[in-house]
Amino acid sequence: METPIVKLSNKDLDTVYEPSEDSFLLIDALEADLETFKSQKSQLCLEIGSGSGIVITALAAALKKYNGAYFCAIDLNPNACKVTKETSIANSTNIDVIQMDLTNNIYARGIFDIILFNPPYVVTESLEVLDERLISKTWAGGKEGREVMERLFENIPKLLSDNGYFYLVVIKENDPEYIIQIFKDLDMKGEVVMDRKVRGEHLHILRFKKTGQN
Amino acid sequence: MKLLTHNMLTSKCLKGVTVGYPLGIVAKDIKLCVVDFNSEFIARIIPKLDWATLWKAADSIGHVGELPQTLIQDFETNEEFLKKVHHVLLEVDVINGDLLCPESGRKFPINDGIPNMLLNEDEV
Ligand SMILES: C[S@@+](CC[C@H](N)C(=O)[O-])C[C@H]1O[C@@H](n2cnc3c(N)ncnc32)[C@H](O)[C@@H]1O
Repeated sequence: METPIVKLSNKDLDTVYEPSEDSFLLIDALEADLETFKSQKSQLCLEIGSGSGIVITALAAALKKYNGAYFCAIDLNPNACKVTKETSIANSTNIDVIQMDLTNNIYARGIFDIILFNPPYVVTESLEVLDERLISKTWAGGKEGREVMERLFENIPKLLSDNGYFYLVVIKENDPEYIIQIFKDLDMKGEVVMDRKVRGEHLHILRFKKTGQN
Repeated sequence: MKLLTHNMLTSKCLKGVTVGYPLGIVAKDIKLCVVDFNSEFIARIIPKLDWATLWKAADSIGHVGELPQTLIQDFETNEEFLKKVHHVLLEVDVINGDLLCPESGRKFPINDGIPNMLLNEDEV
């Protein structure tokens, strides 16, 4: 998969997450599953917290000629929404962007084939999650770094299609095994599909799908 | 915002709103774009849509064209029909305007093609 061109001005960087090791590891995990997406003809793709848009744009660029798929990106930060749109255009992809808190306004009809979330996962005080500054929304994860991502979990089975995949970026401190257990209770099977140690973070990519499917 | 995106948006999370679907559209600026047509993609996406919502949305912004109000039988093999759906779903882009909650009338502004669905704390 090609790495998309992303242009962030200094002003953008004040609030928008600069593509980092976690972004690239997620792209690597998607690349490893590209043949599956092609053979399953994955159609509807959603990224929550798209930031610069690098991940969803990489996926869109790789899939567009095979599946003619549809791509939608969400971020609560208006600047991230704007940059995601710019990144998609600069890389000749077509991504619809919505400013939203997680998936609060998405009608849950179980239609998404691929859902991605690289959440704010850093362990912080709970109070920091409420910090209004947009840049802290990119990383502040609260207790065990799970406070933001956990709000999304119960929606995933309602949003995902029967054969769909949900990819989540976490670090060791988030307790990947505990998260896999939460999804088990939601009738979803999870596994660590990739992990990488970088500057004091042990990144994991978790991939979930509904149980009872191949 | 494409009408495919509109098809999946609700305002149900607003306090006091029970269904919040479909959202109304007030379009101040619409851009028509060209997207590659993939008949299989459109045929497979139709069953995942709320057809009545799509038709009404397209009609309300003046772009319904010849799209029938009820979904036709055997649409999978009707290339002409699939092209019309393709156009309405993917090529009509609402650039500026508002989305409207059908129950509360709450407006969600669309600027530069991006709807802002964020709510204030006292609205949830
Ligand atoms: C770690 S960054 C990831 C950015 C990008 N996806 C990447 O991988 O480079 C997390 C992103 O989630 C967004 N975000 C945080 N909380 C959110 C929420 N409640 N709803 C929507 N987006 C959120 C942030 O604005 C930020 O863009």
